[in-house]
Amino acid sequence: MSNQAIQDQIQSVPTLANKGLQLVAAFALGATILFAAAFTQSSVVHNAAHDMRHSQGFPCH
Amino acid sequence: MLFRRIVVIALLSGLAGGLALSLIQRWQVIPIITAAEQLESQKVEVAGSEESDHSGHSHDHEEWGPEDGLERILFTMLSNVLTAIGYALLLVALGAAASIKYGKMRMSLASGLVWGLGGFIAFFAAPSLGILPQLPGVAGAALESRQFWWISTVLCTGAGLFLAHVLKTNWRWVGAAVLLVVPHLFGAPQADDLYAGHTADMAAQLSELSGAFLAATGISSLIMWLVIGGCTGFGLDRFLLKEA
Repeated sequence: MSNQAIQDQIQSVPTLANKGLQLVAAFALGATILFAAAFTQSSVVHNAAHDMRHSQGFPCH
Repeated sequence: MLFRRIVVIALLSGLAGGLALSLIQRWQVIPIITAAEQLESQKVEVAGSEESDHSGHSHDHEEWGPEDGLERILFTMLSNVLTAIGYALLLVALGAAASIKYGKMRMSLASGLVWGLGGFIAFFAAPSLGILPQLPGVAGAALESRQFWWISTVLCTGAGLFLAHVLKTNWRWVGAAVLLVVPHLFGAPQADDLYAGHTADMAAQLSELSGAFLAATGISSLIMWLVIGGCTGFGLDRFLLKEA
């Protein structure tokens, strides 16, 4: 196997897994933001986000 | 880098969607919330009321809450934008996954609108069939059970729509139908008395307000989702998939 082929293999295998991982990371980040904005029980967060929670239909109290 | 592009597309789409939501909400939704809060302030606290949690509300002076007026409007806008960014991140990640993993599906402004409609169905329409968007002062069943049902419904509906879109087998329709219907077969937890502590007259007013509230929140949420969907579809097409 030539050096180039080995290089290609090293790069191509992690790339797909890497893409998947980055998509999962973006999804997880979105879910975390939503969870924090919608369901955090801290009364400061609740009061700040109050009108948004009601108008998005999040069950928050 | 894929992640960075996804985040940038989601930030911009979320900003657009959150601002669009804030505009319509200010004009349609907030007046109804204010009217309900006025009724709520006349409410007689009933011992053992299921809605006792509401005592920790923004009108309780012990806890910090934004002052009515500009401060409250700004905090609501901020939370609208944050929430819309959260939605946009989910939409971009799933849209990119569908295109990269399942190949042929090109994203565009038009297909983004369809994705936005899917988001509206998963996050607003489906859960609202069981638990109506709640007005201040209206009671609900125990909070944890409502949250559990709400989150499960969103996950099942979203998964059903996503799988119906990306899978090839005809069985996907069966799977999607099951996922969409099952939460409603279980049924959402309901309160015994939605208007506990209110007089009959106030309950009637709240009930009327609740109907108007469903329409107003539905319209504003739909428009927010269409803006997020259109922007993410356009952004994915223009800045991510062409070069991926």
